[in-house]
Amino acid sequence: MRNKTMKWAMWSAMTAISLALSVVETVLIPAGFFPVPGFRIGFSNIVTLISVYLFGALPTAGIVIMRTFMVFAFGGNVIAFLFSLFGGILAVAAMVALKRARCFSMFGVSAGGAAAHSTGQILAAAFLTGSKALFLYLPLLLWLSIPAGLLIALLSTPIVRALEGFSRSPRID
Amino acid sequence: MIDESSKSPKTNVCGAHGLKFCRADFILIVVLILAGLIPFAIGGLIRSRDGADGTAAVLTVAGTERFRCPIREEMEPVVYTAEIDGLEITVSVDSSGARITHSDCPDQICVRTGKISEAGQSAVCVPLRAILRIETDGTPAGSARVNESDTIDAVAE
Repeated sequence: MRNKTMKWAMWSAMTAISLALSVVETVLIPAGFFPVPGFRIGFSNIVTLISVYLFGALPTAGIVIMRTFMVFAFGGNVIAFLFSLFGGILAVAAMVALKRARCFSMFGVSAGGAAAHSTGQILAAAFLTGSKALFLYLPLLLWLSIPAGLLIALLSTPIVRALEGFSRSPRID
Repeated sequence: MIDESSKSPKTNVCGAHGLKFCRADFILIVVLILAGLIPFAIGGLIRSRDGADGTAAVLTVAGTERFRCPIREEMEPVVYTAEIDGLEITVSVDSSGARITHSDCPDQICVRTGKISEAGQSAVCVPLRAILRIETDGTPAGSARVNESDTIDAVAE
């Protein structure tokens, strides 16, 4: 990335895009479209995935946290906020770890992130309600998150190709 | 379609910048699918150790438990109303089972499900993301329990 201002502009734009994707998804795919409560594809994770590749761990975590706060401010509820925050942070951590492992493609990174997101949400839910029985709900959510993650990777691939030319050089870390 | 990878400067398709599905991804996905089975295995273990003898009606909304009420032979009927984004759903529990008696949803599938009483049965209200289900709630003294012990209902037993 060329300079500091450019970086901040990119991060801000990414935050805005992910917020827009999240809101548009909520409007276009209403809760209950999938017969699994709480499940969504999470198109805003396109931004998360791209950010992991282009900006690295910390800026991505920042983008995800900002997005979660703003979705909350745009009329979310506290429970959903805590779920997304915990799921989101865990997803970023998983994506960064998988990317650094260097043996997974973007598809693996995305699927792993999506799975971590589901697990994080269930963990948050189990923590908030104190009900371990919620873990019985994890398999369904985990399995559904894998195709969702793969779809996100498929959609992100051309964007990463285009944006890598834009940034100074591919990030190797 | 043109093979876009040939245009990409990356040579290692499966490295940190790989954009193509590779074998490691496949292995990861298989591992994740298998990992999804772990809760079933643990749940089954706990349940079999529990020797469940009772059931409880549990209302969850968007994956969050809102209400839990043990079903007992002798009990006063319990009515609970949950508000979800301004919409209401009402469940009633008595000694013979539980049902969703009212929901502000358009399709009313949940209300038409009627009474449920066997462990594992559920009445689902998709528009409100609410699930009323019957769970085993066995709590023989001194054994591990699946369900949390800090709900009002458990304390009131």
